[in-house]
Amino acid sequence: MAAIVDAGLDDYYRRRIGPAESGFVPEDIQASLDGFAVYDEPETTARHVVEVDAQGMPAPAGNAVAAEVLLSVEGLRCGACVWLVERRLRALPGIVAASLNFSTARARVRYDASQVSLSSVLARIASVGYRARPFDARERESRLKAESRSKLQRLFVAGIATTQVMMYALPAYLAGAEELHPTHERLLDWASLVLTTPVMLYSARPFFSRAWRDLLARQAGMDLPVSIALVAAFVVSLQAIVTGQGEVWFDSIAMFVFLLLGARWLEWQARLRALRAIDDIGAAAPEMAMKLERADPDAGWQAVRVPTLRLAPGDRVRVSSGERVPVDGRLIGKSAALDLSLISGESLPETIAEGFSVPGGAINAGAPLELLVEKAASGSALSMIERLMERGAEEKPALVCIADRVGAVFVGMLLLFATGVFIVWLWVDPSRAALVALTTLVVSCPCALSLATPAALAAASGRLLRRRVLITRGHAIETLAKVTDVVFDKTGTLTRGQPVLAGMTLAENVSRQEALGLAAGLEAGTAHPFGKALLTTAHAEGVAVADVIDRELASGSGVAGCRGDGVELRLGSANWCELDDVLAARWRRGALPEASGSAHEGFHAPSHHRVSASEVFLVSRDQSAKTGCDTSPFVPLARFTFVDPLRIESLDVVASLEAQGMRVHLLSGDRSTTVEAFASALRIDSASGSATPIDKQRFVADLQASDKVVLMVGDGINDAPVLALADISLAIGDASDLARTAADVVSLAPGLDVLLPLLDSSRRCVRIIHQNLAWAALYNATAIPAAALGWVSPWAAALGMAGSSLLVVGNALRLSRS
Amino acid sequence: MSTIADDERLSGEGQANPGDRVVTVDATIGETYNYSVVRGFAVMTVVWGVVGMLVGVVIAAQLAWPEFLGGISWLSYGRLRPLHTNAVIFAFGGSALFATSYYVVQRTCQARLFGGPLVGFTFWGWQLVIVLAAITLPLGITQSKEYAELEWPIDILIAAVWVAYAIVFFGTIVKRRVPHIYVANWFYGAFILTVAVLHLVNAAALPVSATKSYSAYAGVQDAMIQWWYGHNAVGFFLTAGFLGMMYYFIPKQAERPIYSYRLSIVHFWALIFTYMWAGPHHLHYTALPDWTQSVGMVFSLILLAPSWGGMINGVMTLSGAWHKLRTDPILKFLIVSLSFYGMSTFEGPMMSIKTVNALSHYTDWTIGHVHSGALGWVGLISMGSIYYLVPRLFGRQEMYSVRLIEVHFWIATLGIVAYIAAMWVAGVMQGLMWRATNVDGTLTYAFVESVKATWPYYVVRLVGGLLYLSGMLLMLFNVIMTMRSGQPVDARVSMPEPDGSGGTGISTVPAAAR
Amino acid sequence: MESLILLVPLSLVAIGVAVAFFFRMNASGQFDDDVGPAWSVLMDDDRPADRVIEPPGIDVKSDSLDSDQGAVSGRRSPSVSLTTDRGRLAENEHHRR
Repeated sequence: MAAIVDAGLDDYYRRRIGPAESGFVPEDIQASLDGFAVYDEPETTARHVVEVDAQGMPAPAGNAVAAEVLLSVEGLRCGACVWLVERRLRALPGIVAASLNFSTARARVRYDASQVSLSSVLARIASVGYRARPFDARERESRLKAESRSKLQRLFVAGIATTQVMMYALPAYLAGAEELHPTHERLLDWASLVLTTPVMLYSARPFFSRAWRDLLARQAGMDLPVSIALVAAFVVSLQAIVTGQGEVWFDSIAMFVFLLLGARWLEWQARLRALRAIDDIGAAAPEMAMKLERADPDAGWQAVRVPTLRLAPGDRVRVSSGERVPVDGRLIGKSAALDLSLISGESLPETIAEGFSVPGGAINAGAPLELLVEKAASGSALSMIERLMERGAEEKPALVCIADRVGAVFVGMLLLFATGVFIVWLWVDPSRAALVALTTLVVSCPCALSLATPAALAAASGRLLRRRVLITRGHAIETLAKVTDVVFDKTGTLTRGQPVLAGMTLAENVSRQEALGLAAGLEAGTAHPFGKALLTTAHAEGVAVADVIDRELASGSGVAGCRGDGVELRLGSANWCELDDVLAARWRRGALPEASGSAHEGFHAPSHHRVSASEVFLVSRDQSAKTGCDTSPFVPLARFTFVDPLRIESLDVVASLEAQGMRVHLLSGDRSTTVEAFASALRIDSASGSATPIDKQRFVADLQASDKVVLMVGDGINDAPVLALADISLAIGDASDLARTAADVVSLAPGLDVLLPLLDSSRRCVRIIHQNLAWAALYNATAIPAAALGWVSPWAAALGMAGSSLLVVGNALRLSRS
Repeated sequence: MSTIADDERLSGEGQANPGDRVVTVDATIGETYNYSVVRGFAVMTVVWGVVGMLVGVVIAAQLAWPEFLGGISWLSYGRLRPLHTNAVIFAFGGSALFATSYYVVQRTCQARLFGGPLVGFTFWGWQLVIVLAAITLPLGITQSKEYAELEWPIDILIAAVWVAYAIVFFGTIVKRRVPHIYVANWFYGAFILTVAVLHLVNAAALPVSATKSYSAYAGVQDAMIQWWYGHNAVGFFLTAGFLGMMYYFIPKQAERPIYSYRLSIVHFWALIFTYMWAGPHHLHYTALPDWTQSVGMVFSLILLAPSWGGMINGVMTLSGAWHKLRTDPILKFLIVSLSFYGMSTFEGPMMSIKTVNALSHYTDWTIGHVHSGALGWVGLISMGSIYYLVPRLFGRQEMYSVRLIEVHFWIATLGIVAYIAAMWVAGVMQGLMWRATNVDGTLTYAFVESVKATWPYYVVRLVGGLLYLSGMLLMLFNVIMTMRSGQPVDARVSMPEPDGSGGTGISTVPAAAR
Repeated sequence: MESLILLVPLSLVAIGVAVAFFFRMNASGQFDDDVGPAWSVLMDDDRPADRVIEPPGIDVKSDSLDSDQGAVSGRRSPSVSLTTDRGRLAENEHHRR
């Protein structure tokens, strides 16, 4: 009888590698341990760690017993993970308590701050392969939890009351004329009253408070008829008990409240999952900034990545194009263009002049800028993701607005109708008037509008959030459902945006190792994509990096440097390497056999790509023999070609889109030949290269003019205006902050895999909403007249209405699955 | 100062064999689980099982051959029957519940039993209750209330033991080291509290002598309260308590988590709040008001849902591990018990429908139903759980003979099937015969004719009971042999250890010696 | 049905107790995680060990039904069992393994 434990433990302890799905790379453990160090910064701990007393309540310093932090844990796949993480943590000296909730993926860790630090807690969890991060929304999490608990309690009370009151009510239904002794009947009625009172006063309170709020705001919501019905039924029943005449309806009241709360609870679960998913995403890695430092006033500025929280007033910071400004500062340099939409809502970029203040959170819409930090980062500033989410939450989808409006009209008309019914029945049969009017009120169900539509949207966006897709504009889902044309950017969208070394042509006396070593030496520490590609290849092949000094960077052209023995080196474009056209052309034609490039996955480029690939030359000249103003020409050593491989999924995604009846377009600023090659590889008919931002906008506008609904997928800075213009836009992967701000939907996961599920979810969501509306129309059209005619008894009305609610909400929640 | 001679202490250091499971004792935690009381109750479960089933076999024989015991008053059917019911429900079932609840609450709370001398009192007190029952019932000292026959002094003792039980159980939960209270404990807790209330209310009586009392209730009121008690005794003693057992031992034996923990929580609350009013279904077509009977019927039907929820939860726990059923006889006991549970909780509501009940009431179908639940559900789950426990309580990896467990299972199942099939046929036959009327309205059959017709089925039932008893005897043998070849051990309460054992304190010696 | 006069109020009290209990349990977070606890019982390894390694100098007290002192008995407790005397146990030992 082999227990899971032995095998499982060995398993866990043997594999100190995290699951691939969390994106956690083992070799980076050391790096991430350093990365965790940032969590020990006082600003970070102040934000995330709370001093608690023995009961776990926040306590002032004097009474504090331990420090407590709430973590969001990634990679939990089964309950066994919970046990493992808890045990590992508890075994760490200094940990007072650790508990992990599997269903919310939250961990609460209490520790002695003098013995153990937050970073070691995180490192400890990481050491068994799970990534944990403290998250900001601590108060929100406690509020969510408290709200969940209170909803469960209300539901529980209503449920218990329903079952028990049904038992007490049943005798009255079942007993014949004289069978039930009046004393016993009264006993059962009073017992029912005792049980129903908490239902009215406690469980049903949300209905009453919402109805009251609606009344004050002169709106008509679903809770109004419900509240009226509940109060009226209760009063009638009370009267019946006291006078001993007439029937009591406590069972119907309890059941009604229970089933309605049940439907609301289901909707809450969907919203809760979505909110928690947001918090998970919001628990992003600490923000980093590019700080400029120099050893002494004469040396050049070096860019260093530091956590934003470490920036101090007086620091100099560089903000790349399209990236977010980390902290408040003052502009150094002539001018800058800023996008302030996330801060002020202002959508047009603002140009500011030298010396003017740059607010933290603004996005650099122009060339790279530098600023002087004025104020240190505020611990409570919202991350950009959070701001995007807030924007999305503030904008109500059109669907919801319409639903609210129609719902309000419906309820208003219903109240009038019920009054009319009451009056008519007063004339026909006064004894039944009140009951029939009540029944009419109860049986009607506008729930498909006010309950199921938000539930469907919450379920859909929750599911998307779990795939790390953020809906940042309210209308996103409904527009996605209508998309007819999809426009892709090339670089970074259909391709990985990371060039890899594709080929190498070498001079006769130059070995591969030598060439790579020199190139790597020149590009050491670079941020240039080609340079990074060279470094990666050199590293992968174990090539020794040459020692190069006096490096010089010529932006857009290349890099130069000197080897120790005085040999000057250059790496860059043919112009930069001072090669004449003939020589360059000869190299291009491949006079020498081409050394094969390093293996790279997902490389689908066709054979003639060699011509259209990007290239750099490596040249050298011996300076030691320089005399006078004569300089010998550079001798080419090698030619490197790079290619930006297609994403693996691109072909499938494009094919699927076309199979679903959408038209796919490719728009890129790259050379037309390259773009055409890509287009034919992907089988896209409509492709345009060499497109400027204006060209792209015009292309999209033309499509929209012919009534097409356009989805734009992109990631770069240049895409921002088009992303804003398209009917609906998606920014994927490592999109710039500017692109993310401009897009309607932001995917944090790399790649195009999200596109099809995104479209599918949206279409299903809209379809389900329509289904619910159809059902609601049918039900109300049948039930309300039936009730008005007196054919429906109160308990049947309660059952019908609540059942209909549950049906539409249940239907909406199907979106959470699969 | 060690009270154990050195040569008896296993020389641990350096002499562990590869593949051995080694416990490294943590000097800072000096707490062991109280396995002594678990051992006591576990062993007595088997003993009382044999006793109770033996009495059952005797009275089954008496129904076929009424005078075979020669007319001795203490061995008459009327006196032995309550002895049988009390022995199997309270002695066998009760001991099983005590044993397993004490085990489960300790292990899931990671704490030793609370209560000091109260723990021992619950054991010895309960044994005394049983012994007193074994003495008084054959002597004819009885309150004549079904499942509540014991006279008032014993009732008081039961109440005292039960209070102690509640203190021990809930005290252990209060001192738990694990924040979450595992669902099995909820079932056990509800069972303990409800049985306390049921007992106190139903046993209310006015004593007139040391061996005689009169019920505080009378007539049809007494009947109502009796069957409110009776059915809740079934519902909480025989169902909720054993569901607690199920929720622990099935996951442990199958090494898989409960299919849906959320369902188990919902199942719990639904069950305890719908069980209360099903009692009147025992009193259909009696002097009880018609509407009361109808209420009982409706709620018995409603009860079907939560019962089956629990059954499905337990059975589906095995999803993905069905193959284990082929090789593991203990798992067979546990899972098959759930099938019988499902069957009984379907049969019960069906029988509570008035029209069905009109046929089945007072017939042997009712006996068949009781025994499918008792032998099938309660019996098998107890046996499976005790087979799980005994090796662990005596330091063995498994029972003395696993083969014998398998044999026991098949014999027991065969016995159950024979039993209930015989009773179904007999019951329906009796019902039909009793209601058969001639054209002129007179009864077709005299009562004695139905008795005659039932006789063969009584014999078959006796065979079924004998088979079941034999299985129990095999179990007794197996348990004794396991005890002889092992020795009583108390496991340590484990705390986290950074020693590669993941906190259990138990690690496996690798091939290269430690 | 006079019995109802007893049973109905009794059940109301029972319901009140049960609901109060539920509220308390909810407040202490018992129902927050309805997936994780299913695994906790599995992770508690209750199989017996083959050897016990005890640090020297531990006071071993005998354990009985009535004692709840955290007895560090580790291996044995001369408690209720059908094999009673120590000699027998030692003898059995040689027969094991």
